[in-house]
Amino acid sequence: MARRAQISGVQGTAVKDGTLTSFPLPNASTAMEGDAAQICLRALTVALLCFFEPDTATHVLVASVPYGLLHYDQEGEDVKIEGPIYAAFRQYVKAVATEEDTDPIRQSLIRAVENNQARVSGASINEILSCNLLQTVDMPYSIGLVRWVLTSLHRRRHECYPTRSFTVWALATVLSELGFQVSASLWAVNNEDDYVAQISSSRYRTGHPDVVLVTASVGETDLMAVQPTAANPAVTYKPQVIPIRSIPWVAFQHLAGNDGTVNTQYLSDVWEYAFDQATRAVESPRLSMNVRIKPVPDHDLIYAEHKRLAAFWSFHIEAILRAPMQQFIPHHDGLSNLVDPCRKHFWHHPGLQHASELGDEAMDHWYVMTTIILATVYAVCCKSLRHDGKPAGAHTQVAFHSNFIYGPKVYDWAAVVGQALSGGVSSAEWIGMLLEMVAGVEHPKPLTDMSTNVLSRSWQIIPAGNASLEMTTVTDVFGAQSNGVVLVSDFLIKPTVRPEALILFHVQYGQILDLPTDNGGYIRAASVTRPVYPIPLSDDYRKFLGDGSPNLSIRIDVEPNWENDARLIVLRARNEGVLVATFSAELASRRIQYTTIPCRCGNPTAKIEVDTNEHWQTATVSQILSANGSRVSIGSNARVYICTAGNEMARLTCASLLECRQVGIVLDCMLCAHRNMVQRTGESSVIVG
Amino acid sequence: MRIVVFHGAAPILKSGIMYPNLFSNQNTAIPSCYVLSRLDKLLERSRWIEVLNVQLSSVAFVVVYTHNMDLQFKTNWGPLTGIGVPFLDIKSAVELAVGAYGWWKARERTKSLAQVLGSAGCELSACSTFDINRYRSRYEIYEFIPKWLGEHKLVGFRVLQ
Repeated sequence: MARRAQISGVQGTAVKDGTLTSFPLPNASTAMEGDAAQICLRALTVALLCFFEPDTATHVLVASVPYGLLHYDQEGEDVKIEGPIYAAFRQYVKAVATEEDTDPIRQSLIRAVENNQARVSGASINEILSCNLLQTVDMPYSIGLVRWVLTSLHRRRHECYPTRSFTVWALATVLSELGFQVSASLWAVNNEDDYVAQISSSRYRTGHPDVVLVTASVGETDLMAVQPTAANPAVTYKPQVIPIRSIPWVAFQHLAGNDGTVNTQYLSDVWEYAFDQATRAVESPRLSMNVRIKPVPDHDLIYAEHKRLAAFWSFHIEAILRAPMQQFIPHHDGLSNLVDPCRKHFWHHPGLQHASELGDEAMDHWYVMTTIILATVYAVCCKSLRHDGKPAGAHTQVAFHSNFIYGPKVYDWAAVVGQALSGGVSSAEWIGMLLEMVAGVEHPKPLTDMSTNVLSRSWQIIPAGNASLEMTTVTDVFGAQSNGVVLVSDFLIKPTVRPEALILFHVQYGQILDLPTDNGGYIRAASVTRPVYPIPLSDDYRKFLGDGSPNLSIRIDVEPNWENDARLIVLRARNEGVLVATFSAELASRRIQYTTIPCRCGNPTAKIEVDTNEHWQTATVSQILSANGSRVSIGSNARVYICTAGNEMARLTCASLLECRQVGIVLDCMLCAHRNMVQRTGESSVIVG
Repeated sequence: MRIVVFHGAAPILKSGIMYPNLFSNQNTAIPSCYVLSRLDKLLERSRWIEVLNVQLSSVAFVVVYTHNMDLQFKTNWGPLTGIGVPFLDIKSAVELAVGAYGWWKARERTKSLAQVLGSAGCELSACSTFDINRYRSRYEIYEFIPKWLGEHKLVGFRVLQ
């Protein structure tokens, strides 16, 4: 596993020299501020946030603080933490989480748990790790532990705290690291004699009160746990930031001690091979209305049984699975029927609690298939990622939790990749998948839900190649920050008219400093509403398209929408430092996705001669910008050429300010753009080139 | 421009220093003049301090670069105080950090929580099972370098391993 550079303190991230850079913020941490009571609360919060998302951490915290962290003005009085007090706690935990997500101390605390875990004896590794599968009880059991830890030593009814939850034992390790008087015992109990010796008797008591992991039903555990109730919120776990190549070690760690072929090491080998093969099996994603990925020939599946099996995840992903499936999956008849119940189980009942009922053979094949699919999906996803300006790879770190595996997520991701390999998938879905896979973003609504106003917006557009109206989806999301991982679209870092920039993302770790995020952590575009003015056109018809010089020096900056909602971004165009236009990144994105005209003739031509009967008129960039940043319209049935002389920023600005349904942005070839636009009749056509 | 070398048991700059991981994958002794010239090129781009090979048990050495030191230390940039990143629009970044919707809210929310609890007739208290000194020492390891830099009024740093 690649070791992460140990960097002190909270990290910041900002755009520098066309890429995202990370650097420390030596004065940003508030971990040591306040009086002893505040620091104590902070320590407890930090510990909970190592394992749980803020909502779950808040629930555990408010259920525990009355047991030792609150002092009442009047003796005998009791305060119920609900309503505004609960809200205050929740806001507090969220604020601490924002800071702690970018502080590497969490990594060191999790490493401490891993080190302790490796030293535990008394039970087999399988027995120990099986305690990690009891996720339904993690929250009430954690409340029990925290209450016990907060209780003064002389008031504790139990000197030793047995638990059957691995999360509770790990939480004890972290609490100990952060200064609480507790220690996680390195001796796990798996039989009655040990239980009596370790827990019931005080003979072996160490200096600190121990939290003992009990891996078998040999006695009472979790003595102060609360009863799970329907009112409890669902437990949500904090993803860890780990290198992609370490994913199998986290996802399948419970198989570490397996005697059979399929164990963690084996699945890690499968992962490495599948990732490597998938990297070679696809080209970089292209964006032309939809995201499309071209598979390299001879990587598609051959055997029918393999195809049936792959179809459980996606019909079309078979185009790139040949090598790993031939290497690791037998192709005899009936295999897909064997694995099918596993797919249904995890789809409908996420989690590993009852997975043993599915049978070892079926589960072994399901594990291998899931490893191949997930490694393939991550390899394809890396084609859309840059880290420190270089292509992402197996070393790139992502926010990941093992729960991602045992639910519908992998199937959803495979379906998106499969669509991209066949007919194409909307950019909204593609970007949504990237944010989930890399930053661990939990979208408030499914990506395909057209009613959401976050990722999938429905637009009526007229694509460059198709004059008929078409409904499709674009997104107003250009990046996100979640779990300490930042993803920013290349379009925001280097604004351009190249469509691929919209689906290429830069990944970095830390708190993003120069771009705002909304409440959900998304970097989102504001909509900019401006009046529309018609521009006057000269009566001269052009003989040439592609000539002329705009004599402008335009720069486009991405800025918070200071005037309205500073949580959203806008694009601002400046000519020689003077602000000339403010426009929506979402509108610009829509224009780029659907109106750029790539060269199809293979011989890019910058300037072409046209018949004056085609009635091409000219508008200059200065004319477009002369309306003080307002949008401009073209008269009806006009054909207009806006000459930007290859100035990309001018092209982007003009295209975004035009209020016209048929716009064509020239990418490389004026000839192809002209051919495309002259086919359109009935409405105004504008070529921006 | 000023380069400061902070060292414990490590060789000093003039006699050549171990310079790991920055320019090559192998630890090599590089004459000081070479280091200085390469460092200048590097820092021309980054303009912040590089702390090299910090092993906190026995600090090897720290190479520090300061740029516009006076300018940067006369200002209060909230959580951004102490960084030296000229490529950042600091006004915007500070507003995005501490403004109404800013991300740096832990201090503020702690005060709010204390006030809300106060209005309900209670206050936070430290539990007797919490050892604040142990907690501080756990964080100290991460605050060692910033503290040292702060004492020397330096700009920023990066730890490479």
